[in-house]
Amino acid sequence: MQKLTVDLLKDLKLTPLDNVEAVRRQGNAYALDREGKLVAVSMTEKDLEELYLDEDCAHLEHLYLGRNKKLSKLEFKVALPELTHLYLNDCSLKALHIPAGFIALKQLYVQNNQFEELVFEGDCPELELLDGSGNGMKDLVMPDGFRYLKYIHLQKNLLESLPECFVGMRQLDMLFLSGNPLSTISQDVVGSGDTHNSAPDILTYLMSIHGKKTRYLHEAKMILVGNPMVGKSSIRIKLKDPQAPLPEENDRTPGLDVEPYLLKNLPGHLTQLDENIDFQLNIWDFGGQGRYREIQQLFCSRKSLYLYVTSYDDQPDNEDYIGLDYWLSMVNAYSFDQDAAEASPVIYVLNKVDSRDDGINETLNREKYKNLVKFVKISCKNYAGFDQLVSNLREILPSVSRDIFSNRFNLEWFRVKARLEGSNAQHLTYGAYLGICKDEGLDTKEAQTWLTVLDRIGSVIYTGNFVNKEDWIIINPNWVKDAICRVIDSPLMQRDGILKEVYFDTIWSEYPDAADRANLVKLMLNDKYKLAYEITSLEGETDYMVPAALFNKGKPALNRYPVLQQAADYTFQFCFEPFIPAGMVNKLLVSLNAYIYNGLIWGNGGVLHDASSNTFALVEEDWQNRRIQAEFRGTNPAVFYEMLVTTLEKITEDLKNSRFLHHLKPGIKMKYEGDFLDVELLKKFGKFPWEEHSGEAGFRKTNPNPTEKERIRRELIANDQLLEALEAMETLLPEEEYDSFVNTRGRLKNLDRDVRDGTISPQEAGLERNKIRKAVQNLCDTIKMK
Amino acid sequence: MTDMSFAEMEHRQSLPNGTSFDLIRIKAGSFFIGNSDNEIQVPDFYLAKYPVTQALWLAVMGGENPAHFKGTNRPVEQVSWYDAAAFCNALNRLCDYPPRYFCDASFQKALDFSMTLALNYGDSLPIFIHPENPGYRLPSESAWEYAATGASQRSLYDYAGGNTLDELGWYGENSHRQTQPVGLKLPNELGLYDLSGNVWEWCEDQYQSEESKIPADGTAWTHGDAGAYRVLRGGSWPFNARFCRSSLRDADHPASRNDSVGFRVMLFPPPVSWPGIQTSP
Repeated sequence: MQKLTVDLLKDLKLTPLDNVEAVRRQGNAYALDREGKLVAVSMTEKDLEELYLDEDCAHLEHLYLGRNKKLSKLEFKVALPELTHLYLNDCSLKALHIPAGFIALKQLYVQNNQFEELVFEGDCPELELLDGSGNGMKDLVMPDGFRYLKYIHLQKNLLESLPECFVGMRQLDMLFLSGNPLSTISQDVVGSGDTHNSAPDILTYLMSIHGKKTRYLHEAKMILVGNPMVGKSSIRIKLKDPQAPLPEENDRTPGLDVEPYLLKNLPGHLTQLDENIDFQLNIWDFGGQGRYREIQQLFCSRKSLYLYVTSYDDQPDNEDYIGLDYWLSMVNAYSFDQDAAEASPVIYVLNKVDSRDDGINETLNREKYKNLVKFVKISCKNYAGFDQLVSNLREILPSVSRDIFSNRFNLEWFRVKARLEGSNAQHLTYGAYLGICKDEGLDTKEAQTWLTVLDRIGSVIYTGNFVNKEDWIIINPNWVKDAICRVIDSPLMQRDGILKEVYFDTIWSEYPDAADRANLVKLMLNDKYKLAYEITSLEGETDYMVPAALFNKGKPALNRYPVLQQAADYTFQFCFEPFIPAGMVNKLLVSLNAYIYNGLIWGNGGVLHDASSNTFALVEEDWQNRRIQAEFRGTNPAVFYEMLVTTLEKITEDLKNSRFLHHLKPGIKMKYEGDFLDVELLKKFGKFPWEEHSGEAGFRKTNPNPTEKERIRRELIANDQLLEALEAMETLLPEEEYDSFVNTRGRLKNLDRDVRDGTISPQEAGLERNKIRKAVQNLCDTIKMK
Repeated sequence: MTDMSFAEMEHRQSLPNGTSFDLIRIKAGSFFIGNSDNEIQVPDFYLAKYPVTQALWLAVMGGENPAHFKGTNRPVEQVSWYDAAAFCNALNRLCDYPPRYFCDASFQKALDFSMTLALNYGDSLPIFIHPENPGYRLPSESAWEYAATGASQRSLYDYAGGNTLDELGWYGENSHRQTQPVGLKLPNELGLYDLSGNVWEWCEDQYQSEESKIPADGTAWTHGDAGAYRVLRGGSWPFNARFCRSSLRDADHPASRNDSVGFRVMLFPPPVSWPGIQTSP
């Protein structure tokens, strides 16, 4: 193990500089104080493996050891009381202990090492930033203190809990925890997404349970999926009451039904709790009909257990039949836990075995979907197999989510939940909710965090942003679902999908209140749901287009529009894996409704038109093949294409963030010489028809900025890396420039040879190089013009 | 060393609503821009110490926070060049300066946010820049690079203030795929923070590819069409280190809104006096 000394730094050829700031700026340097003690060290990419610091380093104010890939061990034999910045990022440290006495430390970067625990042996009272991400850290040990800690990055570790001292970090402004298997704090509090800042909700939550009476939230969803008429509602009914009569054959579930079901007396060996508990499963019974699928996904959320139900008569020729692949792909996309990279467990239920038992090919299904964990045959008619079903439910519940049994919340918060659930109202205003919270002892911050949690677990629907006290909180999601299903089902809507105010009395006869109707419309228009958009009728009235209601309307004949009869200039496919969320094209059309051409919109597509460039985009959803196809015709498809990509990215991102839909992977293909090829591949070979502009990675895998390729080339030229610049443009050059390219490259190679051989004077070489640079620059410009 | 101490070079601009932001005085001088032999004479000016934060944006513009990565002390992003220009006009109004950016050649119709907000990618709006009006504006790219490279103390560092980007800015290797609060990293020699990384910064110039065409008097090059790309400088959170070099030039459509692009303001000419403005502590 080497000791950090001035001699070592000299051996490593670090530059001695005058002061700390100079060392920080220059890098690979060090500075000493008047007594010859080290005050600053900055070194990177050295071959150091093990290092220790003793009292000779006690005056260090700055230590940068980042990106020393081989550094696996670092020991502080003494505290460094004057150290303000410590960089140990991107090394290979296997352990890290910070002794007590780092009293001046302001910033600590230890990300991307390999230590399992980070131990602070004392308070770091000045620490404002800690980056400990990407370490596989199981334990973070911090004593009380750290009162000025504002920014904490702990992504991609293996933390199951946070140190107690977090509750005292009142300055905490940013806290990132994605990728940790936290079990003592609900994921519903932590939130979802790599860039989601959990600080406000976590702080509020921790304070709400610190020294307060708490209770576990033992509640989850059980979602019944499968095609129509396989008996999902019967299972729901029979689970609740074995004696209850089965629904009539024609009594189909409109959209979904929700009912609570109690799994009683779960033993400690299942829950890891001291006592046996009762656990509430809220059964969400999804109507199997295709037209409801868009609405159903609004009600998907994490922490769900799925039952896939099928039966002998569940056959491809049935109305609305879709195969197991769709349902399992949907389940997997809505998977509960991105951190564990596991999909929610699914029980495969074969119903109606009293009529016929075709058996289940368990091996084949399990091979395909690893989360198909149980297979059970039942008959709702004679209640056969239900004991096994219930036993399976109890068994797989622990694997639904690692925090399923360990989530605790403040008792006062539970009282708010109970009051909401006990209310007969369908909704209340945000202001009224705050009133209830105040009654129960919650302050506004706590009320907001609790509302966020309730929305995430699906107890309520809230689309506001904690500002307008008149905003709705829906406490009966079923009530909203029914209202939207009535719109979609109404014969009045089938022709053109337009909801008019004059229809309200017919469609929403059970929703007589004008304010309710106005709010329901507002909800459908809400950006989060994208179920409708406003249009103005010929009479000047405001109507609402609901694309989902056009499920029966086929693609119209487009022969009135000659331009749409022409071959497409470009055809793209936006491909979704593992499945395309239902209604994706509807959301796209709602988002881009200002561009819908002449009202051309139908069940699975529409025509968009950009008047400024006179460009058309015909978009259609190919649901079974999990893609949206877009055909472009007109003068400026690049801008329209960009708009489509950006919009689809945003819809996908919104779904991923709001619905915990982590496994949705979109990609783009373009038709090229008859085949659909990945656009990334086409770009690589310079066959993509235009250069992309703004936006972030999503559909686009390339860097987001517009002129990146050009910038790289220009930078290479500017840095005099002319050969590299030439190589970077080789595949992109117009054919007629190829001779010039070969000639320029030859001149460059000759020049390098002549310089190496000393057969050319520096001045001549400089002149020739300038000429070559100019030639490379010209070649670069031809690409831009192209 | 310059003949002014840091304290003398720094000023705090207070706004009527109680918000304030800091500016750094940049002394006049000349430098060769990028890797060219184009020598630029840059006059005295002030440059904001940080990119415009979301707090400052909201204090000046009100309304909704456009940023994707929310945080009052994070830079504002998802603002187009037009939005940034409208911000400068709004800031000038608050600080009793005339507008800088106009929609007509007779300088009657000042650009405002209600106009720019409606613009989408690909839309272009002719902008007329008043050549003499004093006040806040977007920096010219030469002023930006001059300040980034230490102005009269011209440094030879790769990035603004040094060679170790981990110490200086937020980029693809350390940003966690998002913007970060301003002012956490080491400032450059002049006390300017976050010039390298965090967000690209809009400059007033329209983009043209030749460094030699950048005006030698330190003003912005604005001879392109209405929709010509505008210059971006400094690199940003998703990019690797090479894009954060002080000399690197990039550009985007002026109506583009991107979560890796923000801006900082410049004040020119330096006021003769600073009524109501306190020197920073």
